[in-house]
Amino acid sequence: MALVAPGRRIGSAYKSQALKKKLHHGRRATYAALLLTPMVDMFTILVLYLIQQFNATGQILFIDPNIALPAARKASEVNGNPPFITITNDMISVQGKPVQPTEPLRKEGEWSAPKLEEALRQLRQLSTDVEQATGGRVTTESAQGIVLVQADVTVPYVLIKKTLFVAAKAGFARADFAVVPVPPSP
Amino acid sequence: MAGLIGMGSGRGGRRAVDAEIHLVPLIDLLCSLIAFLLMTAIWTQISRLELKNGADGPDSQPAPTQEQKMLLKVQIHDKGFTVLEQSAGFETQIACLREPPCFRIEQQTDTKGLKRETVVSAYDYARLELTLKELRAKFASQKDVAIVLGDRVPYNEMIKTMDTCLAVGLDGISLSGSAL
Repeated sequence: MALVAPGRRIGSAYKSQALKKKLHHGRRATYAALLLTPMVDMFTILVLYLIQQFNATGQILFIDPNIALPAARKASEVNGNPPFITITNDMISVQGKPVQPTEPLRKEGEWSAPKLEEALRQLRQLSTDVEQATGGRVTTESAQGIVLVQADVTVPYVLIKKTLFVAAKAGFARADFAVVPVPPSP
Repeated sequence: MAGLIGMGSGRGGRRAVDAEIHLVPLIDLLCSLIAFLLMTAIWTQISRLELKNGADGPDSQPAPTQEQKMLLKVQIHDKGFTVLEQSAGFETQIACLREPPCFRIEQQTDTKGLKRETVVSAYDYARLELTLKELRAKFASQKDVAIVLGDRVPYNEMIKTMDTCLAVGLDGISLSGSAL
């Protein structure tokens, strides 16, 4: 009798169709059906949520991601596009552009911030020029002397007061503070 | 002979009322809407607190008492609040909710796992609000208040104090500094 290499020892089920399918080593089917009904449901809910959240006031405000704004209950809406000053522990920025390091301003008796004052004066001058050029028809918050201050929660008051002083020197007599609104407690 | 025009698969000559939804244009429309609304979505709402009377500068000096219109003053320092009402000679101290100092700046990990500094406050704002409400009840026409802050007091406490004053109807807020 010839020598035969031993094969699979799976008994009488060897020739069954079920086992053949299982042992078949062909390519897996890659076709996946797209479920349209749940997809349309998901799109509809997304659209309804985004429409509900949509706000067409035209206000664009750059919020520095590195700062944490304080919360307040009695805050009012930001109207228009006032120029904003961002104060962190390291730097003071005007309209998102860093202009003045805070280190000199932390010193006792030091109130001078020439770069900050220059940047604010330029902003004020620009808005005043626009107002004059349009004969008063285009009036911005900057021309009205309004500035929005956004500062991190840990910034000491000494930096706030000196920034407000410099802003007042540059012609911004009124300052508003950016906060995160919270609903009043019941 | 008049006949009924049948449309679709209506039986007995009746007009079919079923309308097919064209899915492909609908999905295109929804995708366009979602793309537009996502681009214009505002994820963070911010508001503002108004400062009506401004802050003092280096050369400003407190006006003599007889010329000063506002008489209510809230001082914020390391150990809590001092509320002064000069016309009635009223003065009260509101201590911290724990051992002074009333504020601490600590490193905390936020929801994204980043370490950032935050203020841990122990000022008693509830008692401050009650005190201001009592004073407001006595001086109903008084809306001006001066908030005097120490240079080291964090911005967070300044805003919360302003918020407390606004909550009791004192919206003529002015800020000044002290060496506290």
